[in-house]
Parts: sequence; structure tokens; C-alpha cells
Amino acid sequence: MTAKQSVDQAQRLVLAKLPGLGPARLRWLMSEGASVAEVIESLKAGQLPPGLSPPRGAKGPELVRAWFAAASSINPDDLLESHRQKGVSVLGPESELWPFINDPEPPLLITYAGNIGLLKSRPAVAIIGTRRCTTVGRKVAAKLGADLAEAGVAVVSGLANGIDAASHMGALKSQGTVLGVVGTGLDVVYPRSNRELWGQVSNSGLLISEYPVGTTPENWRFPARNRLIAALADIVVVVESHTKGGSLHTVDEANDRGRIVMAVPGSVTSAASAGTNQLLVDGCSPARNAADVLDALSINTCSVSTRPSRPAVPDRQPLSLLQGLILAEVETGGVHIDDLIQVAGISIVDLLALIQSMAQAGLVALDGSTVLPGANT
Amino acid sequence: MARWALEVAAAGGHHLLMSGPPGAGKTMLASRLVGLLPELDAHDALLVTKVHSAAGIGLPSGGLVRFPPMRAPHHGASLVALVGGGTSTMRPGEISCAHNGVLFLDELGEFSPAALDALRQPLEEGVVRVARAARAVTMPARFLLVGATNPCPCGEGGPPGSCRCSDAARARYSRRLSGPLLDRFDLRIEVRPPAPSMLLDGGDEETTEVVGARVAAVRELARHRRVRTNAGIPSERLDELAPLTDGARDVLRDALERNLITGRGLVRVRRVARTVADLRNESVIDTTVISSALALRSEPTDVLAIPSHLGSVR
Repeated sequence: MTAKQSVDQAQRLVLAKLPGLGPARLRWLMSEGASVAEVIESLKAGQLPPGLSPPRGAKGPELVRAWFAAASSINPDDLLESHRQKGVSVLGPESELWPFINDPEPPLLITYAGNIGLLKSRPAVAIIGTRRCTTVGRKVAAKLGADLAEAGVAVVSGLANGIDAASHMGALKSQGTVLGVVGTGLDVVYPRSNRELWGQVSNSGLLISEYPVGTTPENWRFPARNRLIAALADIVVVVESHTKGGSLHTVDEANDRGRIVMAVPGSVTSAASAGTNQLLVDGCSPARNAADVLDALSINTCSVSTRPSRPAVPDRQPLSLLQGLILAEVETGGVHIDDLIQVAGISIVDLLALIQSMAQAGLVALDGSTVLPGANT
Repeated sequence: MARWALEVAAAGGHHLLMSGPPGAGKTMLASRLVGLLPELDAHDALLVTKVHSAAGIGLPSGGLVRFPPMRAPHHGASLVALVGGGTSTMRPGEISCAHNGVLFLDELGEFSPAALDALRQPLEEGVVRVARAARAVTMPARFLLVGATNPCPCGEGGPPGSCRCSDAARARYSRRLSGPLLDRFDLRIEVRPPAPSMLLDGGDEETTEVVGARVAAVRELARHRRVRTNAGIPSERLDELAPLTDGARDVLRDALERNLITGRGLVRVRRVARTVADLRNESVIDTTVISSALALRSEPTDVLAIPSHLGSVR
């Protein structure tokens, strides 16, 4: 990296560190064509870039004053050095890997940990959804992540709780390519419960953020993060979403960027699927499984098999009548063993043994005393 | 399902964990379990009576505790109240009062980690050792542990998606129960509120006498094997006392390879299988019996678990 690039990166970090500077305000700040260096120079001098008047609203002047103070107090070289010390690298728009060339709201830069070459990994599919997801949703997300990763698709997600985490866990299980986009500094793990996943994504994949290290979580940073997820993916798959929520915001961002949006159909009684079902009504393509997504990517699913992650089942027996009956019962969701006894009409020991053998063959999954559809059905 | 699990627990002395929403009848099931246990023999009756009397519990008329006791301490109970102790005079705690009976811990996750930890040694050895500055005493504490939990903090659980607990709250809640204690429960079942018809008509259940007779018969078999109950079969005698068919061995090998059970779990599953086979009057453990024993210890599958091949980071 040249000295000039290094100076530019340091200045971009300073700008990215300004308090309350989201994508819209950033666009506004740069709208008069000033360079990053020029913007910082004017802010340091206690002025907005030429041609801009202070934003209206009660908080506007206060925010601008905070920018002035921050611009003059942050030392660019120290800031860049603190990234080096924390093992976080910086990538600016001058890089040939820069993925946001035609983006309407590109970030100033990205900070990253992991294999930056994965930024160009194609195809890439974002698997996203609500944090308040159901067990079924989490399983679907994990399975989608695993199957798509197995088929060679890079899985993009936001490392939030719920669907986001599940999809990455699935992708990691098939040792696939994972790309995490977070809304805090890379040294500020949020949510804390995902710290192991966080480490794994940066170790075996790529973790990126548009914020300098030390940036703490703030509500507005997550919608901003969503636009990067949409920008990096060829297809955005929403696994579960309530009627309002961040996932639908990502959908808007994906639509703005001409990305394909797909939704996983859910039960009409599940609040966690209300948003995704509405997407389907609005004309989104349904994504029942990885094969549907691969179809949309125009990947020949015959060559990768429609169920990519199905393990080879040795001496796969044809289903017995009773097994078929049980599969039909659990098809639409979890069923308690007590309900299956009524249907099956066999003793509890025989039924438990049958279900356990079906679970070990992957036909069903046993979750406590609830029987769920399995990975191989 | 729940009734059958009770029968297995009573017959083999296997610790039982029930999870289910409030109103699913967990407490009722626990008290039903103690009713299935056979009457105490003279030696045990005397011992239980001594412990109860030392603890200051009122004795039944006649002065002798003939039936297995059930103790259900509240989760707010102090450590001393649970395991015993005291300053001037040592008194037995709840776990000793449950000797030869059932210790029912409702809302298991609400007990303090210290209290749950204190259960481990008695569960292993059947006695509790309490040491104080003045002296140390060993008190009997061999009990059948029955735990009950709600599926999640809000207690509603139910079908997927109907609950309003966040992932984080669920994770916190289940973490409290994780670890070595959870491993001691050989039988883990989910219970649901009974159907209205069951509440009104009582269903077509077998009576306590009928089930109790089967329980007593299985316990008698255990005595012939020179073990207290099937749950107490030493691991080195399993091949002799609970022989597996080739098919059953394959099922276990498959479960081990898929990490469905641990090495410790393997021993426990085989003990449960012994009890299930005894209840069916079978001497050898076949695939059906071993599979049903595996299903009885099924853990909630955790999609959020970190893939094991990746190991831990940082």
C-alpha cells in the first residue's frame, strides 16, 4: 500500500468515526463533490464543506458541532494504527476488490478480519430473518445455509441472533464460505452471545463492518448494515419475518439494488412468518429449500443434486406404512409423541423405537418429546 | 408417554426430568410416581423414620414411616435446608428426608447453582456429608430425583413460534440447567396439559395397583442381580446383566458416532434399556428396547450449537 493510500484510509476512518453519521448524512456531506480530505479539513476548521448549510431540525447544529469536535480531536494515524494493533484491516474504494462501485450509498471504507478475497466470491446469497424466530425457522435457516454452502454458494448474513446466526452456523457446518456484515466495530462483539460464531466467521470466512474499531452498537447502525448485506448478495432470502422488522428493511434495500428477494413460506398461524408470507403475496419467489434458491441463481440443480447436503444413506429402506403415516403427521410441524400414539396404534415402546430409528436415519428429528420433520425429508 | 416414563422411573430408579408449561401436571405426576414405589421394608422404614424424626417432621400414626416419602423443597430453600447442617445440632436436610423416596425439584432452573451443585455428590454416593467446625456427619440421601422445568422463562412454551422469549433469554435459561446435572437425568420428557376428556373421565388408565405390581416385580429382579435398582448397575456388570443383541449394539454405535450420546450417556441408556426390557419380560436388550431408551433421553436439538469440528475460538 502506498503512503498516499494509507493517508486516505486514515482520513476515511476519521470520517467513519464521526458520531451519528449514517449513510444519508454521509451522502449529504459529500454531495458537493468535496474529497474526504477536504471534508475533514473544513470540519477541523469548524465549518461544513463549501456549499452546505447546517441541517435543519433541533439536533442539526448540535450534531455538526460534535463533528467539528471529533474531526479535530481524532488523530488519523493513531486511529489507523489502532486497527493494525487489533488485527483489523482496512479496505478503501481504491482497491480492485471494492464491491460497492455502483452502489447508491457506498460506505466510506470497510474494516475487515479474515479472507478479503471472499468479497468477490460468487454467487452469494444472504440468508436473513428475525431475531425472534421459531425453532422451525432456525432449523430452516441452518439447513438452507448448509445446503447452499455445500453447493458452493457464499452465505452472507448479519450475525444477529436468531435466523442470522442459524444460517451461518449451518454454512459453517458444511465448511462453506461465510461472509458476516456487522453494525459495530470489529472489536465490539454484538450480540455478546454470538462471540464464538463471530470468531469463527472471521477465522474461516470474512467479517466486515463499515465502522472503525471501537464503534459501539446503536440502533440506527443496523439498518445501515442491512444495505451492505443487500449490496453484497445476488439473492436475499428471508426465512422468517414479523410484519415489521429489520428484515423487511433489508428487502427494501435489496429491491433498490435490483437484487432478487425470496421468502420462505411459513404457517399462516405463525407471527414470525407473517412478514415473509406477505412478501410472497406481494410477488416474491418462494424459497422452500436450497434447490429453489439455486434455480433462481440459474445454477443447474441437476448437476449439484436437488438436495445438496443429503448424506449418503446406506441401504435406504423403503418406508413402511407406519413410517409414512408418521411423516405425514409431522410434515407441517412438531407433533408430540402422545398425539402420534393415537395415530399409530402401537405400544409406546414400539413407537419410541420407531421414531428413534427414523431420527437416526434423518427422516424425523426428535426434540424433547416433540417429533419434527427431519433433515432428509 | 408421561405415565409410561413414570413407570420406567419407578421401576428402575432412574432420575426423571419433565419439561412443560405450568398446568401440565408436573407436580401431580411427581406425586403419582411416589405412589408407584413399593412399601418400605423394615430396615428402610426404620431409617427413614429416624431421619424424619431428627428433622422434626411429623410422623404418621403408628410412628413408623412405611411408605416412600416425597419431598418438594421450594427453589428458594437455603443450602442448609436442602443438604442439612445447622449450628448447635446437625439436622438432616430435604435431600435426606427424601431418602428412599422422591425428591421433587419444581422449577429446577430457579434453584441456585450452589444448590444444584450440592446435589451431585449425594446423587453419586447415596449419602451426604456435611462438615462443620464442630463435627462432620454423614446422612443418608439416596433419592429418586424428579426435576421439572418450564420450556422457557415465560413458561408458555407450546408449539414453535407461540412463545415470546428471545433467543438470549432461552439460552440463559437453558444454560442454568446444562452441564453435569442435566446428564444425571436418564429420562427426559416433555409434558403437556391433559386433554379435557382426560380431566373429566380420567381416561382409561391402569390403576396404581396394577402398575405398582409391575414396578415391584422389576425391583425384585434388580435385587436378584444384587443391585438396589437397575439405575445402580455398575458399568462393568452391564454386559453380564444387560446383554445387547447385535442389532442393539449397531444402534448404539450409530448413536455414538453421531454424537447423540456421550460415553456416560451410553451407560445410562443401557441401564434404562434394562428396565424397559424387564417391564416387557425380556432378558436380552434388542433394537426396539435400546431405541426406545435412546428416545427417552432425547435432548432438545440445539441448532445454535457451535459445529464441533470448528472448535473454540479465542
